[in-house]
Amino acid sequence: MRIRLTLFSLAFSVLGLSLLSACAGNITVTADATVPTPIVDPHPFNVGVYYSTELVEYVHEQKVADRGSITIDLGRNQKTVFDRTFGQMFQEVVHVDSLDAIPQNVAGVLVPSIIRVQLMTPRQSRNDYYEIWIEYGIDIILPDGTKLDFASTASRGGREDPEARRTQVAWMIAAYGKANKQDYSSFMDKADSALAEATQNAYRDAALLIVASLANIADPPRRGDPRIKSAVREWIKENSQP
Amino acid sequence: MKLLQTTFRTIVLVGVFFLGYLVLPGCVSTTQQQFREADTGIEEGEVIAILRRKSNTRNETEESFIECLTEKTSSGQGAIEVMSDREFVDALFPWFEPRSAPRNVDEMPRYFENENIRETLEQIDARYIVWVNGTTQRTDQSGSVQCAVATGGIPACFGFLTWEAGSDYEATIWDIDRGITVGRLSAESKGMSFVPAIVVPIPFVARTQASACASLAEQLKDFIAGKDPVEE
Repeated sequence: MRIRLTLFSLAFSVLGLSLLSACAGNITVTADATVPTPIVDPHPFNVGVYYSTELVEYVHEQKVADRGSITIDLGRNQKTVFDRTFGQMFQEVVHVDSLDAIPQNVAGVLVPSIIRVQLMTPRQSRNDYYEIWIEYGIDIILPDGTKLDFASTASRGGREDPEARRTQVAWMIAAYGKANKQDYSSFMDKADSALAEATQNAYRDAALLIVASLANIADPPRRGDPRIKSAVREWIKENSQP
Repeated sequence: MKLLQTTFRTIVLVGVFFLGYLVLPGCVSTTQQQFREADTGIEEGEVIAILRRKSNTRNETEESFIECLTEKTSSGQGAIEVMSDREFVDALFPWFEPRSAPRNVDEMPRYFENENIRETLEQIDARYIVWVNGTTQRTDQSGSVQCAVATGGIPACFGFLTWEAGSDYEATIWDIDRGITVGRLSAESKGMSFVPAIVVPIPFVARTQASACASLAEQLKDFIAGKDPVEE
């Protein structure tokens, strides 16, 4: 039987090439911040929050062997994530434009930053999940302009967090999100949608870790180690006293 | 002219393949089990929440299965008003996230000690929480189908491809008002899919997940309504 190239094989070649290009092409992910308002009781004091340019313009780009390059615009959602979370955790949250002028009616200014981001595709991890880790650092600037840091933890008799010592920030949060590729399987490549969902789940996890760390809650039980420093707890306790 | 004929044959071949995929079911057998621990019933205005058991480990129940179960339980004969997993976890944020959700129903009473959680559940008028656990796995794939174009421009496929799939899901029903587990339901579907190809490949796909979803939804409607399964 003589096999020859015709339109049929040509059509399948084109289809195959288009699928291959979908697998190997660069991916740009734009995720919405779907963080609901947490159901917690706020602390009875005000805080400020400062969003640096680095945070709100943060774009993560990672080369992935089977996909080329994956780009995720994380910065655009950070204000939404932290405003919604901090907004429910404190009596009032004041946006601060500069750390040189701290309002006097706040107990401190919270300064979130992204320390590190990592993502994995199912092919890399050999499982069904697109996964993302976002490591946040949150500094607390006190009204006198000093930073609540690992040194103040030790001076207050608290336990030092080695991760905080490494990064020099007061409080570390390692948020994780994943999305099952089975929920995005089709003839077309939907890696961008799966990665967007994984990113949204990481935002929710970050909010959860902040709430669980800041709320004075014994129940429900907390999972994992939110790595809140003793100094942060002390700071909350001091400012919650009437 | 010849080009048009070849294009037409190609379109027919691909059309037959997709028609077969959509229309021809593979062999699926479903086993269901029910274990009742207390009587049940639901009043008008009350809702149930169908949740997938979450964790940050792997082998989580597929979101597509929960969407299917929610849709089938809230429609058809004996339909019950269902609050989706997403609506429920958003309303109770952040206490039912993968990191914070109860790992089993034994942990539920501790959650209801939280005043914020209790108040929210009263507001949404949720009567039962249905925890779903399980996955669909594809196993034992063998054979292959190869396509080529023979003399005369006739496209043809030859071969035989087969695989097994299993969908195993369990639902635990928690009565919020009484703070107890009222029962457990399960559906296990197994099926063999195959694609014989003699010129035209015709797929017979066993939709085990859809079958398990339909079975569990019917069981759930009857169980909540207080009906016992009919012995065959």
